[in-house]
Amino acid sequence: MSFRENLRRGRSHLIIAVIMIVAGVIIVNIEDSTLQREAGKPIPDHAFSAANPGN
Amino acid sequence: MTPDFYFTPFEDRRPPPPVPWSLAVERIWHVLAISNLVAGAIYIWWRWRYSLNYDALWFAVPLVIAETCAYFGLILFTANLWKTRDYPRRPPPGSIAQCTREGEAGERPISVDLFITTYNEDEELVRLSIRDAKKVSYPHPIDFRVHVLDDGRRQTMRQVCDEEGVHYISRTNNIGYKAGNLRNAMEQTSGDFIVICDADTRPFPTILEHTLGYFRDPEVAVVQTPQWFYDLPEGKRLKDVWGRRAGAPGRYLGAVIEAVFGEIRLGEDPFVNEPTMFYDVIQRRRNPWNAAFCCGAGSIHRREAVMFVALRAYADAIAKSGEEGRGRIQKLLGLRHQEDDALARWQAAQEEELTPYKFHVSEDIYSTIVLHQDGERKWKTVLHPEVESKMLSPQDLLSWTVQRYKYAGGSLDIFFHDNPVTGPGMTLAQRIMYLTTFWSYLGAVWNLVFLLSPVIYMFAAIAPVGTYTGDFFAHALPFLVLNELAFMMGTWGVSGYKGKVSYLASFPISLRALWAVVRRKRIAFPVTPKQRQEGNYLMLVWPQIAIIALTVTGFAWCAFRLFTVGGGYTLGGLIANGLWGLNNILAMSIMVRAAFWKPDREEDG
Repeated sequence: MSFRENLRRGRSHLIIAVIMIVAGVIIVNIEDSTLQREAGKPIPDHAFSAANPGN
Repeated sequence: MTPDFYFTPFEDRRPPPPVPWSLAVERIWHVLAISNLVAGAIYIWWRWRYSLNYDALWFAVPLVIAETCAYFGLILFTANLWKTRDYPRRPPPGSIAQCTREGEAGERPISVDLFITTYNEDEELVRLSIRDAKKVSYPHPIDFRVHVLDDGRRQTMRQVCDEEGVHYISRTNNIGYKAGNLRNAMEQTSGDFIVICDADTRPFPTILEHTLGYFRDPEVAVVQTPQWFYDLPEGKRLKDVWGRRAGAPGRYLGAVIEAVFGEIRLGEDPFVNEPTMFYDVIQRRRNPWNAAFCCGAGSIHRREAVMFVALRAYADAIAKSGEEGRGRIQKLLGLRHQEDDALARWQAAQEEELTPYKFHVSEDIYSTIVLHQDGERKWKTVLHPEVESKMLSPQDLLSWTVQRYKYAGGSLDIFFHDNPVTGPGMTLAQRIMYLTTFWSYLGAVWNLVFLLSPVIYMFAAIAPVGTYTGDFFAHALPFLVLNELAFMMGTWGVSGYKGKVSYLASFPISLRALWAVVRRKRIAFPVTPKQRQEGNYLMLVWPQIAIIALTVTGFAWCAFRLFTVGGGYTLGGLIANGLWGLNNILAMSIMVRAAFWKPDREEDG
């Protein structure tokens, strides 16, 4: 069985992993922005850099 | 003339080879598996210690308990999948003396009885199995006999046996169902080895040549071969289905998606019967621990071992009944302990029957447990990795449900009433393997919590964790991502998605079985139909439909409240629980679709 075929059979694992990473990044940024807005404090250190690409 | 069965067009299908083993893949799996367990332990510890929503402990605590139970199941499953080490194959023996301990048997050809158990299956279907059984070959002289064990007592079945020149065995009652049928046949035969086939099991000519070599080890009691369903619907390519529905644009879009993700088939294996994950991964990887268990059809048994199980059960039953009977005897005769003991045992022996296969809904695994528990003889069981027979899969949701209910009920019954994990005799590894099996059926309880959690959030705006901030994802994401990557490598070459979601979606069956066992209700063991049963199966999937409806409604309600009055919801919470709910809906939809599934021949008709 080729590597490609094995990968095809295991694709659901990769797709789920990618969805979870992307969703996690988006949710963290949204929640941190919301918290910042509500509290008037800066974005915490653990926020992903995607929120502030310039930093 | 052979009748035109639905599976006739699939006669030329050939089974897949065993999943190839690779040391490199196994090493990667080990690294990822350990990383996954460490990340999981950190996550679970963090969940208990820092993340509970103390404002809603009624929700937060059950969920974290469910997560902990699932994590424990993950540890067990990792242990099960740890390594592949096939039992060494040896050439087929030429005489029975090569299969026994020194001096236990003389030089003579091996004798084998092949049993085909039947109750009400189509006689012509059984005829196909008989004909394939007659083609079994062996490189040495052998005394090989085919027997049809007909619990339906049908004259027509007897006639088929006469026409095919095989032995017909019947009895006057159906006590013990399949196990009783086998016992009756054992009383009338004497082969050194027994091959067990269901009515639809079609053995390949190589089955004995490839498996009897294992019995050169006199401790090997049972060899189980993988069950292979040659009638599984292959489905249709995505690009073809969309092409038919939407013309060239649909075909083009389908082709693009398949180019990115690989071949996608719609309608393939609607009941998720594909057994590769079970036999080629789960059972095969129990070989290193001598913990593979018998699954009935397609297994080869050493008669001596079967009788050992029978005698052990007989002795246990006598001991038990003897204790119960002692009280009665003492009352009647006024005897004291020493005198009444022999009498009580003698009385019990008169009442008990010798039962080679336990009269239990899961007689296969139960009998294997008795073998594994014997510390003196140290019987071994082997999972032979190559397919040596073909059989039919359940063709409708009712048959599928009956089969799964029997598996779940039988396993849980053993777990609660005769638990080998805590009982004497087994090695630690064997206990872990059996616990893995039982734990997987208990999983329905925490799966229900996982199915309801997003619904609770979406309707009540109550989150089980404090917030969905970076802290939560910093602990959850490494574990969840590593989990996917680890099991992709741990099951490399096997598609596990449908099996995983089917496990989640079959929660009502396991819960029903659990409820029956807890109430000590007897699990009935009717024969699983071998041919498609017509009917409306929506009533079988109402829990799955309810979960889908609740999740969809909850999402709509949550989104409406969030974008109008806020209602205590957050966008992050909506996305997180929406994705969780989507995963649950996709899982449930497999079962719901199965309720509506019809084979191509019916759709075309």
